[in-house]
Amino acid sequence: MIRARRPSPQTVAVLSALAADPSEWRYGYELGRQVGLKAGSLYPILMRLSDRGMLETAWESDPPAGRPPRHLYRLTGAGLEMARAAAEAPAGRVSGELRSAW
Amino acid sequence: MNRRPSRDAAGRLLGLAVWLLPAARREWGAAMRSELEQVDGGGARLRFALGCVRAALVQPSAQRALGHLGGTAAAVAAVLAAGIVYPGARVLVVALTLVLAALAWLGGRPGLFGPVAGSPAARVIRTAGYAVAVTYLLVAVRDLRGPQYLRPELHIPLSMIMLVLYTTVMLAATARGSAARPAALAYGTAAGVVAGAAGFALIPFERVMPPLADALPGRDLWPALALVGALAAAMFAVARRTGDTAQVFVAVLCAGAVGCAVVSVLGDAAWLLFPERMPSIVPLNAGSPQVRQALSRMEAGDEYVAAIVWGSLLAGVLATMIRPVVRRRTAVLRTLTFAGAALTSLAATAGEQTGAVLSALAAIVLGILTLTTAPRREGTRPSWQRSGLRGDVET
Repeated sequence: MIRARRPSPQTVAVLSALAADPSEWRYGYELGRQVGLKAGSLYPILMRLSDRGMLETAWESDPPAGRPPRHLYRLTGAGLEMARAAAEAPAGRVSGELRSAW
Repeated sequence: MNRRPSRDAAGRLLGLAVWLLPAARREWGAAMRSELEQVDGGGARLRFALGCVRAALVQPSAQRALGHLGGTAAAVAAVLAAGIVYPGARVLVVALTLVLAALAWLGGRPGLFGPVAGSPAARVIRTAGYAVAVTYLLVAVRDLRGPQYLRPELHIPLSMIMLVLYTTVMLAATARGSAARPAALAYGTAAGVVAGAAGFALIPFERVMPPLADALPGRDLWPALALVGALAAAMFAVARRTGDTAQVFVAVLCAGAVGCAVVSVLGDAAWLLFPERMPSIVPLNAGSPQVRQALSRMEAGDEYVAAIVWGSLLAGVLATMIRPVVRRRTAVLRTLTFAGAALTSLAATAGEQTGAVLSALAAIVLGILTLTTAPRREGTRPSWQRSGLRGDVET
């Protein structure tokens, strides 16, 4: 069941960073550094977004020799819509659409 | 970039984070591991790994594990602080608390004992089973507080072993992968409660007094009818609902095990509820009134030892019916369990008490081995609903 709760500012930051170039696959560590989040905050957000169909995940297909493949992330269509709605919503308020999505 | 072994402090810390993650999140653990390989600098690696531990700890499953651990520690602390003076009894009760806590933990995880099946019958039976186990623990603590007039560890283990065995079988029978249908468990348990109460009325009360049924109009007619009627009704209802002979057998075993437990519980409950009205079985020169009462209670309990043994045997046989037998060694163990149960009946009929107890013990051990050698992980739906489909929670 989807909880009717406004995304946290950290989630909004992650959504915004991913929505900047929706087609690009992103790495977790770099994404965390970009939005200023440590792994302890970033990964739960990524897991939640993935659980709710907002985030697409994949494994690097051709990693350099001697290095394990990395996990890649980008927004799905629903995630992109949510990122847009979050960006448009005034601080402290949230639209009904966004509330029901999160 | 310098390659760092994943066995440095950060790597080990991340290993802890991955271990803490629930099975469904293992892919995220692998993602964290591969990201750590990209992080330069000991401090940054440690900070990243610490963050991953934090991410794992905020997962609901980790929170539940911590809660369970805290609850177990609190229960053990409460037992230790309860004033059980006799060291042997304290060790036994703490051990029982830890075993029950471990079983409850396993009952919440995918595997042989969990998670609980979706049917209301499975949930009600499991809740009732937990309630009985907790009540037993509370009564044991209450009984063993303060000075003891007998060495309590002499007569505690039998009922404790029975409780652990019943809890084990109850968890396996009500787990998602159980082959026991909800109807068989529900009707079997209900019939067991009725048959147990009726059977209790038919046997000599506390060993030396006439059966309670003697005070009823028609004497033993009504309890006997209730006993037979409850079993017959359960068999008929299960046959009608499932159309499966194996499920009828499960219901009968369930009724027998529950009925025997009811008999032994009622026998001891009488001493707890009405101690001053219980008979004094031992001679007046056996000691002080407290010593005589403790001895009488122990002596009266002998009347119900047979119920404990038969109940445990039926629970052991029931254990063999809980999971589908797909391995050869499981089939062999199940056959040996049945043979042990048959041998127990023959020995009991012939009056060979020692032989009956030993073969019952062997059958119980074989029954539990049958259960533990069956497949551990099953799908989200009960095995009887899967029609040969592969389990979908193989995580």
